[in-house]
Amino acid sequence: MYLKKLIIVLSLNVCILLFCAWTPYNNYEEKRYTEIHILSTQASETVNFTFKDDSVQAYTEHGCPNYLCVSGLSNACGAVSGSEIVAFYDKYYPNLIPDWNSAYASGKYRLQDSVYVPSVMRELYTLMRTNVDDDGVSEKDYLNGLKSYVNKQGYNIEYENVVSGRSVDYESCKTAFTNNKVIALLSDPDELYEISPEDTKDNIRAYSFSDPHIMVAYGYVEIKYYNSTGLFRTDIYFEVTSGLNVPKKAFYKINPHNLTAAYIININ
Amino acid sequence: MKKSNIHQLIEQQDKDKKDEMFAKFEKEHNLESKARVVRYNKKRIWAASIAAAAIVICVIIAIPLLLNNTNRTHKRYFSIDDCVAVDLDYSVKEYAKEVNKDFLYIDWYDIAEEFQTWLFVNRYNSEDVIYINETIVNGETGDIVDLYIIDELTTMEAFSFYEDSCNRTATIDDVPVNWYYRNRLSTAMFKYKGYKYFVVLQEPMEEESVLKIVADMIP
Repeated sequence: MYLKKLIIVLSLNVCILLFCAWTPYNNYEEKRYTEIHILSTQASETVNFTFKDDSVQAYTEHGCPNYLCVSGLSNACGAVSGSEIVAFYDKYYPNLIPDWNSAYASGKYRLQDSVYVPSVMRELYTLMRTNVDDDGVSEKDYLNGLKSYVNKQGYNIEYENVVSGRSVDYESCKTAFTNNKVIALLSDPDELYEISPEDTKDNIRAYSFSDPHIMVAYGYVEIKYYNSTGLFRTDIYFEVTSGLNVPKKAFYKINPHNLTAAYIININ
Repeated sequence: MKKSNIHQLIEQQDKDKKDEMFAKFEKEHNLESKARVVRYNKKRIWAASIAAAAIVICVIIAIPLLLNNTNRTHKRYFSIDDCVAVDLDYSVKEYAKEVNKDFLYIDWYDIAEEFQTWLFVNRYNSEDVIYINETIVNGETGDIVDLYIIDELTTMEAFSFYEDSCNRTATIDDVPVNWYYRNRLSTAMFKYKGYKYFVVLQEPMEEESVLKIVADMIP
């Protein structure tokens, strides 16, 4: 009697396991981050105001290096943003890119060279397993690849994710920028912005990108717009390296945002 | 001898001989006519062949010239996604010489800490250069400037933001210059001899510092 019950229970368990093996959960494909594709149709918006306050802002020292994907690599936003992060911290941890300084003595970042940066980018491309399982990189491979590189150069790297669902820990981000740390943004398709200011209006140009993309944020700005009735709009942006030649640097809006993750990078 | 005279001579002969001579004459005459036709066609064929060869040679010479002609006569439009970056290992100054164009450039090469030049080519035709970008770092001042060059008939969507934003005006050596300053970037735009130039100065000491660079560019 007990044996029969045991066999039935075991059989049920086996069935459940088999069912789970076939369920779509196990066939879940990780999100892949690829190169940026800007949709050709741009949107423009004009915000009219009587007064504007954009005094609340902070940036890392001299921003962040912005690099373009080197030839021969594809879907390489992970490697490009990774090399920007490595070059950003190379100023403070010089063995991150051996035999090359990513910044001048003044602190300003050097241009993308044709030897060292491409070498770092290609190594990250491989370490991040870019285009191995599918196009681009997964979040896990991105983080592991960057960690492998930094560890290999003799340093430690820590990630602090400040995104949870639809919310972002804005205060932690502000503190990070003020403390001269950059943030890796992993975003679903969204928009980058450029803002052209005039005396009583801001023209905001939006560039929509069509695939999940990774960028590096190195500062923030809060723009408060006032009219005769008072504050009517507040936009909060991170300034990011776009991975594009024009615009090289752009704004990413975080209220609201479309981030799947955002990692404050700590290297020591 | 004329054909009518021959006929008269034949008429003077007796009947049998006459028929025989007529037949012989017609035979020779026909052969001679055919031979003439053939000779005439050969000349025409030769002439046609020479003309055709000349046309083919002209076409062979003209096609590369047409393909390499960068003096555009029609407007065209590109989005960011249409472009692919190609790292040029030398300066705009040298590139201008290579392609025989009078590009303006920022002549800091002797004092440059470094510079980098990219050609942005058509994704679908790598021979087609859409625009040029050179970033140059002044070794004396530390200024970092981006120069973009595009011909006036080509519209690159990403530059339209600069064109819309440059709402302040200046005139340098009779050349109208539009410019603006935003968030640690000072940008100027002007046209010169068929090309549009965008000059972007990072972290300028003064908002209008970019105009000094433009003034040094214009001959």
